[in-house]
Amino acid sequence: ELGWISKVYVNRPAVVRHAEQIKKWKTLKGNWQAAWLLKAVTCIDLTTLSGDDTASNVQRLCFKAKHPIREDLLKALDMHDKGITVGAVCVYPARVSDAVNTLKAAGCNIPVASVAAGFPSGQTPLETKLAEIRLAVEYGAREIDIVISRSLVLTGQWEGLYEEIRLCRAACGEAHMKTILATGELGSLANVYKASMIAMMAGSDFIKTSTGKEVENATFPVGIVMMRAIKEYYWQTGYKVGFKPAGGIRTAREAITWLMLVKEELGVEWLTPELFRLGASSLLGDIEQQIFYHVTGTYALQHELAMA
Amino acid sequence: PTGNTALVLSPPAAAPPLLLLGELSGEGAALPPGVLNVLAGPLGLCQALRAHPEVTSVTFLGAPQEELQALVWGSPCQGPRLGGPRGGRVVVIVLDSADLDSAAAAIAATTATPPALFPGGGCVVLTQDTVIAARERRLRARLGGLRLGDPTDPKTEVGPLPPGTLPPEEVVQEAREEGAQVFQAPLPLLPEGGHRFYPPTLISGVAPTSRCLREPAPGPLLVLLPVRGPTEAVAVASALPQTAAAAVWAQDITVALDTADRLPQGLVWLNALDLLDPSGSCAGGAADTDLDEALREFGCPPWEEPRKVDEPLSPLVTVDDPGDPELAQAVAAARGATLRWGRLPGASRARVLRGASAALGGGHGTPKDGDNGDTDGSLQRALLRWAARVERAGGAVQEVPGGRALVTRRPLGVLGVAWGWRRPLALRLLLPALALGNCVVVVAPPGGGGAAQRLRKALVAAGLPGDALTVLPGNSRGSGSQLARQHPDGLWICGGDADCDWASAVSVPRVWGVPEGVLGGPGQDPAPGAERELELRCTRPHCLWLTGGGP
Repeated sequence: ELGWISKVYVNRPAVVRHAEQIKKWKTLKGNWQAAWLLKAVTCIDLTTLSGDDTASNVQRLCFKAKHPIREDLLKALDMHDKGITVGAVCVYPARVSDAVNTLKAAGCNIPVASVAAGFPSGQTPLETKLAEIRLAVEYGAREIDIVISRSLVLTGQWEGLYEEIRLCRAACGEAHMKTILATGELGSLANVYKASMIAMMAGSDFIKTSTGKEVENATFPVGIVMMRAIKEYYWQTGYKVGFKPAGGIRTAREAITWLMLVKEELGVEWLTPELFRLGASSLLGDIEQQIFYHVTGTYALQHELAMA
Repeated sequence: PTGNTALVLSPPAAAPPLLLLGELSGEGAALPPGVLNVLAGPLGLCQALRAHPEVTSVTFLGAPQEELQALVWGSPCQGPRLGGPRGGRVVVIVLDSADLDSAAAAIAATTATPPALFPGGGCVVLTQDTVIAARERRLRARLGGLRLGDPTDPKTEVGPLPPGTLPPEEVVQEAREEGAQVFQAPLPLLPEGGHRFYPPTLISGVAPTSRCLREPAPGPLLVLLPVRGPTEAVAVASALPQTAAAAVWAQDITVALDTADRLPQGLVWLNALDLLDPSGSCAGGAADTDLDEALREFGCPPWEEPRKVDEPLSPLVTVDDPGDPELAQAVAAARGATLRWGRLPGASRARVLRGASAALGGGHGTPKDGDNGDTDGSLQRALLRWAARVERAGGAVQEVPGGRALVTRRPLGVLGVAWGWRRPLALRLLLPALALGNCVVVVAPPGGGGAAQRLRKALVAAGLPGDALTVLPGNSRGSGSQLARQHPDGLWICGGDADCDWASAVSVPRVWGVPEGVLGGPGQDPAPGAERELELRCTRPHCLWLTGGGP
């Protein structure tokens, strides 16, 4: 429905000002901080997307995904029996079968997410994109993160964008689809809003800010705009779409700020792994450090925490 | 600022912050002892203050209290009499090309913590019809998310009502009875003292006759009104009483600038709300407060008093006062003329002045008008000088947080001048007011020949609207009150005889007791500081705050 996006106005300075204020929110301390950090852990999509990924480092990642925080730390917080794992494991399509096999052998039910559709640039023909998605689903991925063609947004071809995402959704079949908008390359906040709406209308289960490979990844103004689009879509259709900021989130403090922002803009219902994910790789290490500090009172040395 | 010492008197309830200020200013030798003194006491102390021989000027700040103002008004001490900021609300205009989410976020934040300069009153939001449903939904969601609690705790956003104010329960109740929809965010568990908290409230579906719009009520109250378009928004915003600032939200830049320009409020934010300028020059103020001038007055006049020269006094002439209907007609006509004269750009007005000067030059200047120095020659010079000033008077661009602010001065509108000195009317006093776009109604004892009529004829011939300058003969005694009763936008009182009483002056926003030396001695040009003072006195500040594009 093109009518929904024809009257979109976003005032950039106002959004940036709002984002600045968010950074000044008071930090949490003590048990509250630990609780929010554990919540953040359950929402992480533990990611490895490098050229030099092989079966061994993917295996290591999967084990870390099953035990993200050291057992004794969890015992100290009395959370060891709550089944704290990350939200998903995110890898390239070629590594999906390794991940799936490792997780099955470890007896773990975490979904494996695969990036697809010409990740990260999206500049590949539509047929190869669809083929990639189908193959990833065949290998066992239960979630697919697709990338949109930024050129369609920048040239204003909204119907073309809708069609592309719709076809990808059909190719995903049963798998759950996240649409990566690559907001750093979309040019303006109004374009981000419009692209979010089109992605939601075409059937995405989640919208994701960025691939993590752009110059500018997940920033608060972009996050605010996308969350407002999600809220508007929910008001119009009653359908809840999830949100995933990815790229550039490295510290535990930022993770908590994202959670607080979601609570303010979208509401408490969105604070679950079904509707909110954090795309990160080194974030888990920092969160574990903070929890270690909370439990023991000192920071851990590098070898004391398991490497991802 | 310029070497004055201050004695601050406050009611006991509001004393602690002021006493703290007094203490702090003494520590660390920030101010020498004795410069800032704070006394907390009952109203009776004001009488004593007024009567004390060494007190030179008295002012007050805060909500108008009748007894207090009456005390101060009749004070024998010289110096400015003025009212402090009379409080005010913020009017927010949201047009259909606005970023609704950002506007809602900003409005909710302002409702929660009202800006320091405009306490009390909450916000009135005028929204264009096409987007009103979307706005309402967003505002409700935002208001529901505000957290009430201890104001010093940074996690909470809404604090308790200020001390001494009643919760606006009656106002809300009246609104409900009129059939408006009232949405109140649910109150969470409150700490002790919880009855001082009032939940953020959104009232929609009221008309401007409703009580919640006629007077500002303290507390987090938000009133939503639909308007059909930018023109209607400007009309409604101009008709709301006691508004201190305004904000226009629209992404369409021409519409936004146009609307912002037509608003009467002294401070207009564009796509922002509640941004404050640390340097203080953009405090703005409504059409009916003069905060920055009030503060500026405590200093020396920006010129030196000229030596007093003995001038021959003209004999007191008694004449019938202009009747009230006559005055009313003159003021109404002047008000009609302000639309044409006041909205002309400075260059056109300068052209009129120059034309008048040329016309006067061709006339016969008789030396017998010389008592007050108003020879035709000096009038001509004054006309040319003011024409040059008006052309240059553009305003300033101030860098402020969020962008840039355009600070300009706008004409007051209808200026009444009550002449009470024992000299014939000094026409040079009227020139600045006319030049800067006001329309002037003067009540003065007749005298000085036909100078006034000649000047008027010259100006009208050059293009001034006929009603822009009216000189009515009348007794000086009490002419101030008479003029004040007609509600001009500004009143200049020249001389104690023409003084007006408090009861009439309360309706006039800006009253100035013109000091004797402002025009310089007879035959002299006024001092440079005096010209600026005159300029400031017949205009009010207007600040347009543009966001985006600044540092």
